[in-house]
Amino acid sequence: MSDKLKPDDLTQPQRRQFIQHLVRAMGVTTATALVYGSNLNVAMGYQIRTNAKDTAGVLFDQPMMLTLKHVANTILPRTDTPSGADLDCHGFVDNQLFRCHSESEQRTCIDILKDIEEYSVNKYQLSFSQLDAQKQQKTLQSLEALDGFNKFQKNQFTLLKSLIIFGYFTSEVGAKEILRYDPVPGGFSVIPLKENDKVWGSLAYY
Amino acid sequence: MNKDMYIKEQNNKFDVLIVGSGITGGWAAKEFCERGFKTLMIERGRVVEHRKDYISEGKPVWDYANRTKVDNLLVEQQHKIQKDCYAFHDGTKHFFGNDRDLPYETSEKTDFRWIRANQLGGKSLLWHRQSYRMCADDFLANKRDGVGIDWPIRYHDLAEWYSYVEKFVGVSGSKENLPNLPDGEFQAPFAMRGPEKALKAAIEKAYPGRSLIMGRAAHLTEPTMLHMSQGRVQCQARNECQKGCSFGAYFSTQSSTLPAAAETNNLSIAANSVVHSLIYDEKRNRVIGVRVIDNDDLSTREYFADVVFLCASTIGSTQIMLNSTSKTFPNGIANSSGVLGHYLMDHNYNAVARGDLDGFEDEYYKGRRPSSCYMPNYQTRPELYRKGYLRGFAYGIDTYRGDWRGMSYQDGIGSDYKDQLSKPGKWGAVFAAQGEMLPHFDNQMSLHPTKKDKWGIPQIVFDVQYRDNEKAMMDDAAQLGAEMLAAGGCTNIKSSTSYELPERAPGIAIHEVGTARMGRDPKTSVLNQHCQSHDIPNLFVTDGSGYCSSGVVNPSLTFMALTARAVDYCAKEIKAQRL
Repeated sequence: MSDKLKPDDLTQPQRRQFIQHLVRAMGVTTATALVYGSNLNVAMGYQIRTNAKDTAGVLFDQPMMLTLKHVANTILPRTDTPSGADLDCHGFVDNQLFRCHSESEQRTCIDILKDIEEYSVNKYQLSFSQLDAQKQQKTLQSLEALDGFNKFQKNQFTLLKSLIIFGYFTSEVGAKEILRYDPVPGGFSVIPLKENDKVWGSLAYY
Repeated sequence: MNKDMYIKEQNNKFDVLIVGSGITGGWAAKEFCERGFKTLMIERGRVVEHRKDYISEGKPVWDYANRTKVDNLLVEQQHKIQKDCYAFHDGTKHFFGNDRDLPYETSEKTDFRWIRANQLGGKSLLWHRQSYRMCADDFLANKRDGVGIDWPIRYHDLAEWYSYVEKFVGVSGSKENLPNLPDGEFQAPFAMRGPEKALKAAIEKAYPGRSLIMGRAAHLTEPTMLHMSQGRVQCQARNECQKGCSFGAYFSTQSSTLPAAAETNNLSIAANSVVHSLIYDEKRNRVIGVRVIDNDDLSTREYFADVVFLCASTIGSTQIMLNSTSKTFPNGIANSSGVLGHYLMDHNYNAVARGDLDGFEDEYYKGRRPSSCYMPNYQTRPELYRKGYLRGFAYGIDTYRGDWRGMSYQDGIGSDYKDQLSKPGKWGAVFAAQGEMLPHFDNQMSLHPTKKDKWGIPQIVFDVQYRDNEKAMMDDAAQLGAEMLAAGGCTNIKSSTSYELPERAPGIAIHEVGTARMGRDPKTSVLNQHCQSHDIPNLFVTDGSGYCSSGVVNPSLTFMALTARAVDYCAKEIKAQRL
C-alpha cells in the first residue's frame, strides 16, 4: 500500500486535470461519480492518438513523449507487423502510468527516459530520437547489458519496457491481429503447435 | 424473472427467512421453496439479474479504460482491500464491495483481508468453483489431535448430501478412488496437458501416496437435461467466470439455485435489505424475524417468519448474531456458550514453488481451462503428519506456456525479440499450497464498542493471525513443492512463503469459517449437528460459521451439502411441530 498513489498525494491541478479528462470522455455526471463515489464502469478505453509524440501527455512532457515513442519503436520495430509507436504504445504508457501506477513508478519511468536521453547526448551528441535505428537499438541493448548503465537503471527500464509491451499486445491490433484471438473457445483441448503459430492474445487475466 | 418476486414492505409472515443469497442462501431457498415453504431471501445488496447485469462479459481488453487495470484513485477510495483479491480487476470490480462503505478494524500487529460481494448471488458469482468433498479423516482430525472440539458429524452423514448437490450443481472431475479425497458425482474432467501427465507419472512414482489429478470444478462439461432446462450449457473455456457467465456454465445462485427456487412461486426476494439484527421473543425463546436497514435510504423495516436461516457468510452471519442482544443473550443471540466469534479460520495459502519444464515444445492448448490440477492433502492422519506441525495441505498445480507477459521482463530489444514475444514460450509449472489453519480461541472477530458503519451496525474488529503451526506447514510446503518439481524434471526452481505481514494476511484465501462452531456440547459450541442453534431451535446457520476445523479442501461444496442437509432436517422438524 505504501507506494500506491493516494488521493491526498495528488496536487489540486493533478486532480483537476484528471477530472477534466474524464469529463471530456464521458460527461460531468459519470466523471464525478467515478472520482467521488458511487459508480461502476468507465465508458471507453484509452483511445489511440496519432499525434501523441507531438504533444505533452498527462504525465510526460512533449520531449519525453518523443523519446518514449522512439524507445517503443526500438523495442518493437516495424516488421511485417506494426511497430510499438504505430500502435501508440507511447501514448498508452503515458496514460496508463498516470491512471494506474504509483507516483514512484511514474517517477521511475520519467527518470529512465531522462537517463536514456542523457546517455545518448553524451555518447553521440544527439537526442535519442535523432539517432539512427541501429544506434537506438545499441543504446537500449547497452542498457540491458549494464554497459554504461547500472542494475538500478536496468530495473527502471524493465518497468517501462513491460508497460510498452503490455500496451502493444492489449491493443485491438496487437491482441486480435498480431496474436491469435479466441474470445469464446468453446472448450479446452490440447493441440499441436506448429512453427510460426502465434500465442493466444485472448487471456483470462492481463 | 417474475418482478413480483421482489418485495420491499411485507407485513405477512413467511415460513422461512433466509439471510443471504450466495452459495448457501441460494441452496436454502431452493430447498425450502421446493418443499412448499413460503420463503423470503434477504440480500443486503442490489439485484443482479442473470445475463442482463453481466455488464463486462465479453468486453475485449482494449475496450477497458485501462486495459482491465483499475484506476488508482478508484482503488484508493473504494477498493483498498478488495484489490488484493486475485479476481479483482476493471471487469469484475462491480461485484466486489466498496471498502469506503464497509469499514472494519484489525488488532495491532494483525491484519485481515475481508473480501465482500454484497449483491444478489454474493460470492457465488466470484468464487473459484473448485469443488471437493472433505474426507473422513477431516471430520476426525480435531478429536485425534486434541485441538478445538470434535465435529458432531462424520463423513457418512454428509456423503449423500454431497451427491445430491453435486448432481444439481454439475461438477467436472475424475474418479480416483482415493481415501483422502472421496469421489463424487462427476461430469467429464477437463483435459490434462502433456507436462501435467508427465509430472503426474514422475511424482506418483517417486512419492507413493501422493496423487496429481485434474481439479474438480463446478463447470458443466456434460450438461444434463436438468441443466439445459435451466438454460445452462457446456463450459466454453473462457475462464472469465467472475464477470458472470451467460452460458450458465459455472454454478452460481443466478444460474442454478435461484431459477429453481423461483420456479416454485414460493420465493420472494428482498434486496437492498441490510439485516441489522434478529428479533427475539424471550418468552417463547424463538427468533421471530429480522430488523432491516434499507441499503439505499437507511429506512428501517422488519420481516417475520417461523424459521430463520443465516446464510450471510461466516463473518456476516456472526456479525448479525453478535449484534442481536437481549436480556437472555447479552453477548449475542444463541451465544450462551460464549464461543460466538471465536475460532475464526481461513485457509493458509502461503507457499508456492515454480519451475521451468523442458520439452513439449510442439504441444499447445486451445481454450482457457478454468481449473488447474490438484494434489489432495496426503497428511490426513497423525501417522501421516510430517515433523514439526499438525495437519497438511493440498496443492493447486498448473502448467502453462510462457508468453509476452513474462517475456516482457526479460532482456531483448528489436525485431527478433518482438517475434519471440508473439509466440508461446517455455513451459512452466507451479505448485501453490493450500493448507489447513488450526482453530484457535484467540483468532476472533468482535464488535467495536463504539464505531458503526453507515447502517448503524457496529464495525467488526478482527484479531486473527497465522501462528506457528501454519508457518511451519508452509515452510514445509514450499520445500516439498520444490522437491516434487525437481522430481518431475523441472529446472530453475524457486519457492517462497508469504505468511509474514505485510504479505498475505488471513482472509485473502476467502475461505473464512468457524465463528459459530458446531458441536455436541451446548457449553462449548453454538450449533448442533444440523447447523441448528443449541439455544434457539428455530435459528439455523448454514454457511461456513459452523466449521470445527478448516480442513484443507475449498469449502463451498461442503457449505452446500450442510445447507441442503439442514433444510431437510428443519423441514421435518417444522412438520413435526417441534420448532
